[in-house]
Parts: sequence; structure tokens; C-alpha cells
Amino acid sequence: VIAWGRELLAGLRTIACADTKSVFGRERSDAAIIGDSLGRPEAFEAIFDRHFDAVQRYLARRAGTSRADDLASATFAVAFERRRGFRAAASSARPWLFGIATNLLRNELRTEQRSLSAIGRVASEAGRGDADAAMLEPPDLPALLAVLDADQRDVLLLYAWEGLSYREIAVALGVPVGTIRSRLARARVRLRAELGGRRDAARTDRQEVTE
Amino acid sequence: MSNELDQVRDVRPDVPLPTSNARDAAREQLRMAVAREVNAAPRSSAPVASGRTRHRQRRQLGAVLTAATSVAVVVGVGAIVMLSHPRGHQSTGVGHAAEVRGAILDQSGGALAVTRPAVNVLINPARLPGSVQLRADVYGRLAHILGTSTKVTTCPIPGHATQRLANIRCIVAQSQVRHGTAAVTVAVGVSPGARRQIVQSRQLPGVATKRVKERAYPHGDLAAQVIGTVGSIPSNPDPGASAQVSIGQTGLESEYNRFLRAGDNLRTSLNQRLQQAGQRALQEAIDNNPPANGGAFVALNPDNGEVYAMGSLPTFDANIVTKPISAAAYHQLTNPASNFPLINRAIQSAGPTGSTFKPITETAALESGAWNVNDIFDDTGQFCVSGQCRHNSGHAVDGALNLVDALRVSSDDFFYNLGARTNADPTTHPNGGALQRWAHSFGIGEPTGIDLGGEASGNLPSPRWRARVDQLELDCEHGTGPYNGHPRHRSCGIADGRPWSIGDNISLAVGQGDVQVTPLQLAVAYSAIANGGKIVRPHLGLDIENSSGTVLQRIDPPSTRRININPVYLDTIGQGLHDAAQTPGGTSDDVFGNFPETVYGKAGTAQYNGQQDYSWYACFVPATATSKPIAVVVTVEQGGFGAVAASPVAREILSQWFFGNPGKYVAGNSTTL
Repeated sequence: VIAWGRELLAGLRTIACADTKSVFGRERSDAAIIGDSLGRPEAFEAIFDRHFDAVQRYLARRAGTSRADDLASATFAVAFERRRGFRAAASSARPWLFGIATNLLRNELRTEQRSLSAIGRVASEAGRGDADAAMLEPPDLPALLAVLDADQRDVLLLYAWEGLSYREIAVALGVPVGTIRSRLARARVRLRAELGGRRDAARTDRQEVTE
Repeated sequence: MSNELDQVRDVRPDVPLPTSNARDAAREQLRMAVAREVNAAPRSSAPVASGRTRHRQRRQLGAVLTAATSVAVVVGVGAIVMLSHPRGHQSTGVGHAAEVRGAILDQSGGALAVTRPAVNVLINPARLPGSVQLRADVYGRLAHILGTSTKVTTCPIPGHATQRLANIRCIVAQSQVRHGTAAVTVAVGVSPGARRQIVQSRQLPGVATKRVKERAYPHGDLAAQVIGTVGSIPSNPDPGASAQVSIGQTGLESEYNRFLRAGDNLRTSLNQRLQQAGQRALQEAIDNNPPANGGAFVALNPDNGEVYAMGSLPTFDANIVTKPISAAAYHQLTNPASNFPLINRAIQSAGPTGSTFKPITETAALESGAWNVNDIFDDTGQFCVSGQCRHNSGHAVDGALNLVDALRVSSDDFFYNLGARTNADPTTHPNGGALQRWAHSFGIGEPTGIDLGGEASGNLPSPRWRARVDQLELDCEHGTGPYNGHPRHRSCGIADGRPWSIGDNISLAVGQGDVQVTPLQLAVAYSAIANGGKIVRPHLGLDIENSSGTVLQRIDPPSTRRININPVYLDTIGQGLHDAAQTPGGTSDDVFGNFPETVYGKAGTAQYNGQQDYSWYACFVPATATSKPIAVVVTVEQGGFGAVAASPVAREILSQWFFGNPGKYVAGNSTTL
């Protein structure tokens, strides 16, 4: 009976720790929860609860809802596996999660998955897909953003759409703040050129193929 | 003053909150990863403990997780993981990719996806010779060793004028536009001889070989969309700088990536021979019924949702997609003219189902009291309401019909009548009436929750749905709401702006118009009729095994729910479905009449504007008639009448299942919808 009681107590303690509030009723930081999850993996679900919607919507803005569901799911699975690499100095996990999401998204766009989104578009034009989702995407957006390279586009959208600070974007993408600053500045120059109709200027700095 | 940043902010898409379905699915994924780690005890971070203590710790963790699982089931989340308690399993270390990605197996352990060693050839552009001539020499020598063509062909390069380059040079040029001077893989899986020549040559500066593990699909295009493909992601956020790890991209490769990358195998419920028979029969149906150009089938256990076969045509060879892909092959896969081979039509293509929808209508009419089992309808060949008349296909006059007769001959007039009788006043019932309520409970309009990503929800038309698309059309035309700031249009083609009418309900009653259903959704609905009202959650994963075949975890998702249908009504519907398939006058009797098992089946013909009709067939052999119950749904895009194109495929699948061979291709000739 004593052993059983001890086991029960230990179980209860485990469950109590899973609470995202500390004993003083303050919200525990993401860093603290991730720290816990190293010993108790199931604690990581609190990170999911806090950030899933934000991550999914970020991805939906960039890849459409249907792809975003999968990518957001993958983001948290990858985050869970890489949680040992989370830097405790960053109290919020959100920039880190956005970074993982951005990588997955990039990979998605780079591989054959690109064709799936193309399929989605074509299918909805034919009236057989999710017409609403496809129609909601502003038509001039791809054109506007296509002039940017992937690095610049990631920084720009994390900054302008998601409202991350330079420092947070630096954490997300794993590069120095200075690099973020310069990427954003270059993105703005390119955009200004496109929007101002100075297309010739933009075209000349496009990289030449060496062959 | 508006600057460029403001303009970017202005085009920020307004996206809704994620659906609870998406959230649940993602949570389930996470829980599987968590369970995987918990199961892989002892954990390295745990203090060294005696065997006894460690055993107790594991039990505690198990208790907590089991509690969480039960709670999840109670609140309807439906956790997928059932924890077994693997004893003595030594994990390779969770959180790190194993050296060899686990295999995907069929029901009996046959390999569907495996990992094997291979040698790739890379070019490092920065180390190529400086002069154009010397570079050309390197390319020429390498092409000779690899046996690839040196003939120049069209080489499209994104953002640049198309050039004419030989194969290897084209791959390098395409890579340089995207990735600068990063090393580029120009050949995969080269022979040992070629590898030796490259390694020993002193005249190939900038060329290197690399030993890799290659993902291979021994059966090529068999269930390719279901098994899925793998790609690579940088394991470090700085792209290009680091080693790559393999990650599942689509299908089962993606869904069970956590386990596969840790080196464990996934055993699925797929039956290889059934899958082969299905794909072959579907291809035959497509070839026999021009202009048919695609289709899908699914075969599952109607009692527990285990998917035995799931196919989608056109398909592709998954071995092509896992390797760096040539521009031509990529184009072939993505070109609309190829009709989208990457799509899994069984779960991603939703459309009207034609008359295969009628059993759902029947349930709604009976359960709501709009119609009684013995009521008779006189089918005069046309059905008129509000001054508008509709006809049976071919203006057939079927005379006095009860419910069983109506399914057997597939009288549209009979079901138009039920559609009219189950229509509800849109002002008091914005979600529709009995038809919508019952269709919804059969799972129409919602993903089934199968363990594959990207499943379509389809659409269940209701007054509320119509009001929403009408509003969207208005917003799009006027540049308001979600289209704020966009140019005005005369028409956006989203909806025609008319309110919900009784005609909408009449169309739904016969599975035409705006209803959109995937083959898998229909299979789940027919399974419910076969099993007495259980809405199963279809699934492909059976268990996770280690490399020696020991089961680490069972995957046993619970049924999502049970619906209460009066057994008398179920009998009536079953009788109608059986008569349709296996009694004289039944619409598919010429296909199944002489089939030695008791088949319950319905043909459907879905009408599309500007396209040939889509052919459907849905059927089952229930547990009351066999020890091997099965439900099958087949659709042939632009295949024409259901009995003609889709039913022969269903017959071959059933024949393979029960008798071990697909038998003859037997097409029917009913011209009902």
C-alpha cells in the first residue's frame, strides 16, 4: 500500500508539473516548459497549445491553408525532436518555431511539392477544389514577392506580416541581427524598384548564369 | 506616405484560425512523437537507477500517458497511439535520425519502401576549371563515364532566357541560379564501375562521389501517392551549410516520418495483390472508356477502417521523385496535360457522386418520417416542383415503386421527391434539413481522419453554405470584404448569387450539383451501412516494428462515432442495394449478377458542366455474408455511366479479394445516373 501511495504521489506530481502555471500562478516561460520536456516529453504539448495557431496561420499566409496544416504539424514534430537545441536565453519559443516553419516551407517550395500547390490552383479553377481558399489570395502578391530571393522574402514576411523584431527574426533564421537588417534593407530596395516601375534597374542586378 | 513595407502589409492574406480538425491532427502527430520517445526508455537524461526503479518510472509515464489518452478519447479528440509496452527494446536514440530510414511494409511484411546504399555524383561549381574549354572537357568526360547524352537540348532556367545545354551542364546551370556555387548532385545511384572511374580519374576537377542511402520503391508506381515520397531539409537553419537529413514529404512517408527516420518500420494494412489488381483494372476501365483520363479506388474493411488498397490514376514512379529530378521529368509530373499524377484522388479529389448518394437520402427520408418503408411512389418519368420539371435518365418511366425498387432501378424521380420532402425552410433552418443532418452524420463534408495528409473535406450544400459563397461572390465583384482593395469584376464565378432553393435539395438528393465527396468519404458512408451505423476512421498504419519485426506500437484508432439508424431502415436500404447489384432489373446486375458472393452495390453517374460524366461505383460484402468483409468505391473521371466504367473495376477488386484473381473485365450497360 505504501509503495502504491508513493507511486500515486509521484504520478500526481508529474501531472501537476504539466500545468503551464508555476506555483505562484504566473505563466511559465516557454523556455521553462521546454526544459521540463527534456525529462518529461509530454510537457511539450503546452508549447503546441500556445503557438500552434500562430504558426499555422503564418504558414497559411505563405502556402495556403491545406499545405499549412501539414507543415504546421511537421513544425511541431520537428521542434519536439530538436528541443534540446532551443536556447533557454530566448524566453518565447515563437521565433524558433517560425524558423523551423520557414525551413520546412522553403523545402516544400523547393521540391516537387510545388506542383501540389499548382494542382490546388488549377483544380479550384476547374471548380473542383476549394475555390474559396484559392480566391482569397490577392492576385498581385506572387508578382510582388517574386522579385526577392528566398532569404529576403523570409525576412520581409516575418517582419511585415508576422511582426517579429529584428532580433526575433535573427533567432528564427539562425543568422546575426546585422544580416537580418541588411537583408530587409535589400528587400526594400528591390521592392521599391519594382513598385516604382524601375524594372530595368532591378533586372540588371539579377545573377548571371555562369555557363 | 505609403512605403513599400506598408504595401507588403496591405497584401497580408487574411487567413482563418486553423480548423479544430487540423489542430487535432497536428496534436496527434506530436503525441506520436512524444509516445515514441517515452517508449524508447531508458532515457539518457534519467539518472542511473536500479532495474526495479527504472521499471517503476516507466510505469508512471505509461500511466500518465494512458490517462491523457483516455481523456482525449472522452472529449472526442481521438488519440491514435495505443501504447504497447515494449520490453527489452534498445532504441537507437530518439531525436536523431537513424542511419537507415525504416521501411514501409504491406500487410504481410512485403516491402513497399526501403532504404539501400547508393553512390551519387556531385559537381562543385567553384572547383571546376576556369576556362570554358576545360570545363567543357570535364562535362564531356563525366557524361562519357555516366553514359549520359552530350547532345544539347532545351534547358529552361527560372528567371532567365531558355538556353540550349547538354544534360549535366543544364543541371549545374539550374542549380546555380537557385543555390549559387553550392555542390550539385548530377547523378544518383551510379554503378560501382562508374564510381571507380570517377574516383581514380585525375582529369575530373570539381567532380566528386558520395556514398548515400537511397530511398527506393520496389514496386515503382504501386500506391505511389499513398506511400508518398521523401525529400531533404537542412538540419541547420542556415541553408546550404550543413548536412541534410531525410524527411517524409507526402503520404505515409510524411505521416509516419518520426518513426521511419528513427529506423523503425511501418507495417500497413495494404494488400499488395489487391492494390495491383485495382490499379490494373482501373487503367483498363480508363482505356476502355475514352475520354476517361483518371480515377481512383479504395478498398477497406467496413468494420474497422483498415485500408486494404487505395489507388489513384494517373500515377507516377516514386523512385523518380526521390532523386534530383530532371526538368523534363518534373515537367511531366506537374504539367496539367499529365492530369496531376501526384494527387491522391481517393482522398484529395471531391466531386458529386451521382446516384451512389441515394442510400444517404433514403436514410434521411426514413429517419425524419418524410417517407415510410412501405410507401409507394408512382414514377411517371418526370418530377415537377415550382413549375420546373426533371426527368429520369433517358426519360425512363418506372411506374409504382417502393424504396427497394427505387434503388434497384435507380429512379431519379423517386429521389427528387425525397429531396423535395426533406427540404427545410432556409430562414428557420440555415444548416438545412434532414438530408443535410444525415449526410453530415455519415461524414459528408468532413475529412475522414485517415492517416494521410492533405485530405479534402468536400462540400455539403446547405442554405448557410450558399449564403456564404454568394456573399463571397459579391465581395469579389465589388472588391469588398476579403477582396478589399482588389479590382472590381463583373463576375468571379464563385456562385451565381441566387438564394437556396428546393432545387438545391433535389440535386443533393441524387448526388448532383454542388455536393463534393471523396471516394474515401463515400467508402466510410457505405461502411456504416454495412456495419450497422459505425463511422469508422480509415487508416493505413497497423503498427510500428523494429528491424527484427518486434511490434513497438500498435496503431489502432477508435471509430470516430456511431450513428443510430433504425435496423429496419438499414435492412430496407441493404435490400435495395443488393437488388441493384444482384437481381434482374438491377442497374449493375449485368456486372455482379453471377458473382459468387453477396454484393450490395450502387452505380452512380455524376454530371459535370463541360465534361463527360464521372463514373462511380460503391459496394460492400458485409460481415453478415462473409468472414472477409470489404467495402469498395471506384470512380472513373469522364468514364461515363457508373455501371459501364466503374463497376467492372469494383468487380475485379472483389474477385481478387475473394478468389485470388481479378477475373474477367465485365462491363455493364445501364444508362442510369
